[in-house]
Amino acid sequence: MNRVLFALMGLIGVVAVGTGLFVFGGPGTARAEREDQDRLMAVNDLARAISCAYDTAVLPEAIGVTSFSDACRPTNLRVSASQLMAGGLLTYRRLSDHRFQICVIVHDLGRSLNSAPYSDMTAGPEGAACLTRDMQG
Amino acid sequence: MSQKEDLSLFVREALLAGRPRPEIAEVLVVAGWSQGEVDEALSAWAETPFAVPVPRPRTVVSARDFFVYALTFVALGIAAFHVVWLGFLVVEMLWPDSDGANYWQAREARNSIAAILVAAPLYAWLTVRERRRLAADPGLYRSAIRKWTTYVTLLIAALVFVIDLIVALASFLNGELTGVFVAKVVIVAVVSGVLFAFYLRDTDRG
Repeated sequence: MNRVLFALMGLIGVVAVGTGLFVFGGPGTARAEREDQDRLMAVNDLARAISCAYDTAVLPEAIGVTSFSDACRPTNLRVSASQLMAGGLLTYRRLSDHRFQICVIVHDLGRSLNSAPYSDMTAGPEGAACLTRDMQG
Repeated sequence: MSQKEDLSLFVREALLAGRPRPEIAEVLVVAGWSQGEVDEALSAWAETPFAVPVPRPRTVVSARDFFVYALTFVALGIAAFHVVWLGFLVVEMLWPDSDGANYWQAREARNSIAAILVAAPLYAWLTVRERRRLAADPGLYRSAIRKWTTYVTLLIAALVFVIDLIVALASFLNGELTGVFVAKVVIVAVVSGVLFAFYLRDTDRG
């Protein structure tokens, strides 16, 4: 056995794993990413619910998740939008009669905005990911 | 008894009876055996003069060898593939004009890390253990399965290396060569090249 080449193979593996963990993060980063994904899904679900409930109506100044009818209420949420709103992580903002914005604080804004299902979101203040929607009016 | 065993037994008895090798070969060819089969059957016995024919060592095939070498081969394949894949993801992430990773890439990278963390130590342990056995008993170098897995690994490593160079050259000629692409080509070339060099040394022992 060529010990130098065998050691080189081992070194390549160690460098790959070390660099991978350094660049992408370990279990802690992964847990934070999952939390971020849940929050972004909550934003999407809430935006869909608002679009459903206020499709042609004028948007309210403030909104609560409980105020939706059954037909528009988001169902399979992993993280309740109302919990996020109560914790100050998720905010709704009425921009005009038929335009609104929902922002959510995330751990890693860059990675959130790079991920395909949330690519229509933009960077908001204080590391928040924001989704802006226009209603038909 | 199989036909090969019949042939081997016939050659042994003919040598025992003191018949010269060319004569044995001739009668076997006349009987319908191919020249290759005859040569193989005769080469199984050493030409050392002795009271009885002296058998030459033969390649051996065992279920244990299949288990060990197939597992080593698969572990190496998993580790090598994921090292390359993880390298690609790291390059995409770190390249200056990169937008950064997304959730999918981060998840893929961690999956690859998990695969490497399991497959690479398994491969290393199996390889070191097997090399110790080979050092203690060089007769084990005659394992047919060891030879096959060595040459299949060499073939795959060589093919990957060649295809990598072709793709790189094609991209260069088509004016599509980017920094990220070159980095990926280098990763594939390094991994396949090191594996090829490592296993090429194994062929020295047959």
